[in-house]
Amino acid sequence: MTLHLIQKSPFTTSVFNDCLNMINPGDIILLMQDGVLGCQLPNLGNIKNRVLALQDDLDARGIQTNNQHVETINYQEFVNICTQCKSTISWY
Amino acid sequence: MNTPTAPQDILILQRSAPYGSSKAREGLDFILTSAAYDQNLTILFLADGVFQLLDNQNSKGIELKNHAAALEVLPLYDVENLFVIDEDLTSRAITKDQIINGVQIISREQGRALIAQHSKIIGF
Repeated sequence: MTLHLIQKSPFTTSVFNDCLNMINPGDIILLMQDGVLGCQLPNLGNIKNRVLALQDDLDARGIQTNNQHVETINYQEFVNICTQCKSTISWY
Repeated sequence: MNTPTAPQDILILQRSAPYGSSKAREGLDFILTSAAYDQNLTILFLADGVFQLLDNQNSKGIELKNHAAALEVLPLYDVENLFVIDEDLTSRAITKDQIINGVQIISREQGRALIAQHSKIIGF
């Protein structure tokens, strides 16, 4: 299981799509830094993988995600998930 | 158990086009440094990283080192596991006769398998 760290906005870069192209079933996506802007994507529900977003990065940008397809997590949970994954890939 | 000095299996994702940013060059530097320490490297070119492989690059005019020429010497450093995603070549209208020698063209599914196999992955 790989943790994919999306760190750039999907509205200005291709990293989110690049990640979706290479993701395996069961992998986890974490939106962080400008990646949290991806919470505004209308089609997140089409993604089969678990999608997380860092609460602090959402708060900083005033993004209120009531998107049912995104789970918000804090840094402690981020660390826990990192330890559970075999590898991480930063998409920046 | 691996000691810090045991060779590691490392997957390097080359995702960036050359010249426009320093990322592709940084990836190459990482590869050459890791190779000098005898690590087991696999390089996967994907997304705009496939543009690094075009064999007719001439960067004299922009006064930067030729990226493809640097990639072509990787076998001399025993870096021979070079792969590129077929679909990413196709979507950028690059044919297999336009890329440097020694790179294996694989499907996206095979690329995903490479990612799943590795526990150490770094992207540029």
